[in-house]
Amino acid sequence: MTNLLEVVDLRTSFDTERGTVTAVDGASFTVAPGEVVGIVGESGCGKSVTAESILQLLDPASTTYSGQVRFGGEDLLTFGETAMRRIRGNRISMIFQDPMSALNPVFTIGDQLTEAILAHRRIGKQRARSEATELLEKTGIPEPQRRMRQYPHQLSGGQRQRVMIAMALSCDPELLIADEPTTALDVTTQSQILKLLIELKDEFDAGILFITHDLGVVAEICDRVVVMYLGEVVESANVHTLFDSPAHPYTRGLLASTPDIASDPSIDLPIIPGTVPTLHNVPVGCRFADRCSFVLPECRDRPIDLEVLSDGHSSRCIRSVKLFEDSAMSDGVAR
Amino acid sequence: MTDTMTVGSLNRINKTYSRRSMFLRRFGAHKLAVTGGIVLAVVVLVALIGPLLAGDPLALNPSQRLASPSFEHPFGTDNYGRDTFARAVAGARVSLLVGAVTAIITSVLGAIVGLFASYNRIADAILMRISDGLMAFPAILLAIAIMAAMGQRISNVIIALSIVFTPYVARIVRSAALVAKEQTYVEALRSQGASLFRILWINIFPNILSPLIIQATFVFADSIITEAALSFLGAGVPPPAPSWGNMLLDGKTLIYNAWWMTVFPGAFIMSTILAVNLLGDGLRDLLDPTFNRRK
Ligand SMILES: Nc1ncnc2c1ncn2[C@@H]1O[C@H](COP(=O)(O)OP(=O)(O)OP(=O)(O)O)[C@@H](O)[C@H]1O
Ligand code: SF4
Ligand SMILES: [Mg+2]
Repeated sequence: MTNLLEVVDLRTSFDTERGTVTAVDGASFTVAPGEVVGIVGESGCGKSVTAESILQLLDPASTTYSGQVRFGGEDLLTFGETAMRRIRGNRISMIFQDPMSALNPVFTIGDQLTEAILAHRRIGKQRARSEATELLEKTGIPEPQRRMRQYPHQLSGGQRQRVMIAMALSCDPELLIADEPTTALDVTTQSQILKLLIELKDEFDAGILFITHDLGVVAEICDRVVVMYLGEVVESANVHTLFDSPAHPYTRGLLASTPDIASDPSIDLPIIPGTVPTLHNVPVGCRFADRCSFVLPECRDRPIDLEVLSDGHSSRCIRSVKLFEDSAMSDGVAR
Repeated sequence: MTDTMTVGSLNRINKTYSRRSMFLRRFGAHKLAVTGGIVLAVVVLVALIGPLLAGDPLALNPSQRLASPSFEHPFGTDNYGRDTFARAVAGARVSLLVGAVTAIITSVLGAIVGLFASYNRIADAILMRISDGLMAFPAILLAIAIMAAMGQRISNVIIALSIVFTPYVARIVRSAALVAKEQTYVEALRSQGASLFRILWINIFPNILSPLIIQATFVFADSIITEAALSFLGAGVPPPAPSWGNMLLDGKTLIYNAWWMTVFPGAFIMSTILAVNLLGDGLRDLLDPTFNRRK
């Protein structure tokens, strides 16, 4: 199957007052039609910047992109603003973490949905409105007719996220980017929204790039997973491979510190020691070295390459082959 | 569109009744705003129907020079025997016209400049430096300079005042828009392929309407004062057409002989400015989401 999206060696840098920082450093991954690919990692590792780079949503004055974002046979990074506008919301849509502020407070739900539809399609206002109502109905909001006339503040967080999903799907996109769409919601609402996303993905046959820091969510909906650390992809694998035999110490740390997934719930969850270094002093060698319990002196010498371990599984760690072999017996993190 | 007036207070109001009725109810409870509104309404009414009741503000009557207030001339007459009441009422038209037109022009220009600056860094740098430059001059000096360059006409007074006050409005709009721009919905709109025009004018504009309306009331008051000051200095509305400012100028030298020539136009200016400021303050309280009304 040909890929829908191919991100090749994506590098996104910002000019800041303290010099240039590279928030995404050589990320590569793919999304096939109908596939859900997760991007996971701790806060600040560059997940959102990766998503925003695909759509070029970052401030053009201070952002530099390099690499390729191949979509539909073309490299989106060569597109100008006008060409990108025809992609955004039309062929690639995005939903955001914060459903509270993702809708304009001064317009009704119906107006905003209709406006989103009319932005890309030449149909009458009446038709756009009735399509908007249908979409709302599909997302399972009770009384869609009434919701159309309501303002965002009259809806709950979960309902607003459903509205955002309806809006994102309004132009039948090929790819949906979801940036932590359930983080702000309670657990029950979260699983309802996830279920809805999967149902709609099948109906619309879209690929999904799903950003989260919650491995529990990844286990629930993703087919493949890309793990990021400090701007780099450190491991990418099929979801089963990732959970059964994680190769990178960082992935193991994440898994071990996730409730429900950690092997023995009675043990205190280990946390990965230390914090993520800032983008202003990125280590020369392995970026995870300071926090890694498997660290060797040679880890710090030079940048580590992403190594292919098996078909569709790669890891950025000089010890990963060894660890990968051991992982069946290891219980996660070295203590 | 009136609904958008209470935009700012939206997040706090978690009730289902309409925002317009909510706004009107709170406005009614705000005594100062109501007082300001009533006084302003009276002045406007006087300006509208006064000239029908009073005589000709330009009619000279040498036999009636400097007559003190009487039944025939309730505000007395000036040194040419012109009726001060008729002149004050005609002056009200000039002042309100200058204030209202300037407020409208500065709101429109300020909104365009401010919104544009909030979205384009280069435009921002250029426009804000120009406005810094304009704001560095005391408003009255700048207005006198512009009047001197363009000549004394009411339309030029309005143009000069608009140049003076637009930077203030643009700044307010810009900062409100910068805040609105950071909301996720703006990024969401961009992710939907919205054009800059759609983002700025359809989505951000309603969110800056409250500060804009409030600022417009202050510009209204300030232009009335500045116009009066300009006319008082002889650089405003040209005689013989009356304005509150040039009536003060005429009365100045005769203040010991004919107090009515200065007191009445002065009282008009004071009460109008006070009324507009009360109204503006009230609107600010009512439209500001962070303002918690005391019981
Ligand atoms: N406009 C910008 N200018 C400078 N640095 C930025 C900018 N945007 C993001 N960054 C930096 O890039 C890094 C990655 O940020 P990003 O928002 O992608 O993190 P994230 O993985 O999405 O985290 P979270 O889980 O908290 O959302 C952070 O260190 C952030 O400070
Ligand atoms: S390369 Fe070394 S420091 Fe980095 S993750 Fe692997 S073992 Fe740890
Ligand atoms: Mg993020």
